Amino acid sequence: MTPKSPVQEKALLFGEAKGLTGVISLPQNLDAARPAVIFLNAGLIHRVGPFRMNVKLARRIAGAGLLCLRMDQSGLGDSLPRPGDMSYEERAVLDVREAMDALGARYGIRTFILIGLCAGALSAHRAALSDARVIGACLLDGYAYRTPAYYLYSKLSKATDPSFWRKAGERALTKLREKLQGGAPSPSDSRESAPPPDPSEEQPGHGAAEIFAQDWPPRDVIEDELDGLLSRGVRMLFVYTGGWSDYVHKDQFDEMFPRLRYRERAQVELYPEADHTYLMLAHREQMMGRVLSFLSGF
Amino acid sequence: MRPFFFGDSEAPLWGVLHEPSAEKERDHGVLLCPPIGHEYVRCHWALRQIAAALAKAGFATLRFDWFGVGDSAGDLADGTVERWLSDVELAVEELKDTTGIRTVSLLGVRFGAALAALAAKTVRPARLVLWDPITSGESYVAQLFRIRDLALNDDKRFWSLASRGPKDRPGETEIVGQDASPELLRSVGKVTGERLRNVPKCRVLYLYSEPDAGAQTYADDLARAGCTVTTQSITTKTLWTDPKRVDELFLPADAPLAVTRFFEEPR
Repeated sequence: MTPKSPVQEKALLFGEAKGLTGVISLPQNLDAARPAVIFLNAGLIHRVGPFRMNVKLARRIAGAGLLCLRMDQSGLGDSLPRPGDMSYEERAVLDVREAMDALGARYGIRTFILIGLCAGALSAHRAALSDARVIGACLLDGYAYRTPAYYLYSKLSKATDPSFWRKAGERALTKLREKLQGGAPSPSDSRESAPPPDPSEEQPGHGAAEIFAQDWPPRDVIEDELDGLLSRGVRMLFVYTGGWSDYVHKDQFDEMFPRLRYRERAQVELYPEADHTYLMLAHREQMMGRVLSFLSGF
Repeated sequence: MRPFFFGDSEAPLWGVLHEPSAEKERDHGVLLCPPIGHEYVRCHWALRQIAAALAKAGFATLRFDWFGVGDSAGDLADGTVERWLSDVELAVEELKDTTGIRTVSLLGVRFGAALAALAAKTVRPARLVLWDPITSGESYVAQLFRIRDLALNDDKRFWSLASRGPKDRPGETEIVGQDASPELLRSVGKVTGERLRNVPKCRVLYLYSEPDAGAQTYADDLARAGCTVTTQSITTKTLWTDPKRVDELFLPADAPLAVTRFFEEPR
């Protein structure tokens, strides 16, 4: 028999037009003086997260005493799109603001911690910048910039990886074969390429492609913004995985952002064996334990 | 669109009701039965679009999450086929109770389609839509482990496979990012073609997004059992068995239209 969960969950419709959907995980003894945790969408995936990660983590966090809201940003999951011409980032900031307003009005909570993976990490960063109610943030595979440590370490690790040499050898053989046979190589994938998307077909996260297609904002801009957040007292946890191709060494963070004045408020973790969405349970458990440890300080 | 929890207060299920406008409303509702495991997340957007299309056409539609899946209570490892069949009955009652509708049909995707077919014996749906149904539980379990292993050995997904240590191994019952349990896997494995053929006579739409040798065989079996079966291919790029897509959602393409047209056909 499944034991009764100590965490009660409720559906929440919120926002100006009640167009945003979320699920609240309530701790047994809610303390409104403690912050609430808000999960943002990981890319286009709805609020449950990759492999239901957000559901598990939210229930554990609530079990540890913090209210959680896993929400769908406008146009994603079960949330309605927001009218108007706002960019994806602008919509994310407004969505989070409405989430904080709703939790404040309903539960009297005044401070918040945001959790976001990938595009959700940048959304969390933007929302934190725009609202002083955000006192903490966990950015999972957020912004990363190539530094000398990146180039040195990625070259070294490739040089010692047998599969790199095997693949390099296979590529060289393929090129040699093509040269000897002459003519254009035949496609390695014999499937038909997918037809272009029908522009009339509704797609999740209208305009989200803009954020996935572009690079991160310039490094010095992010560094200034991060410095501002840390100076304001925001505590942050950055977790990177080996599946996130631009972050490869545990000291790379300090190379990326050498000018942070309150660096001690930023915790950084690298799990080189994990992939971007924590496919393997052992890796996901490791990440969740780290996040819980970070949150226990609030 | 109205989200809510329903059922047992100690193990509630998540549901989202799509209600039609009053002037279009029909006395016919549809319950959407999603896939389980990682396929559930992949399919979420498509099912939302199908529900919206059905509601626009006048059919009150309830999407719900199985126990241990999505936003519902519990863990996947605690799910069983028997428990999920109870979920279907509970969700059908919820749909009827909240809307007053008396006629309900079922739409299921992948293992959700197998569950819908099994539940049909009790629920007696007016119509049944089976989208890429699993026709052998044993083969499905084997497929999940195969996809898991391919994904875990994808060197585009992982930085360095060579440096994996003993702790970087999946658990014995770990299937594509989720923990199952021996009981669950046994329960799924017992879903056989024979059990799936035992569907009461009704109209069936068999949708398939990828050519499948088993598809026509199962459709023929249902026809021999007395169902009126329409088989239709759709252009939705589901790529269910592609290990590179295990965490990607897909767009519904022509699935909502195909489904809506089927339900709109006169009885």
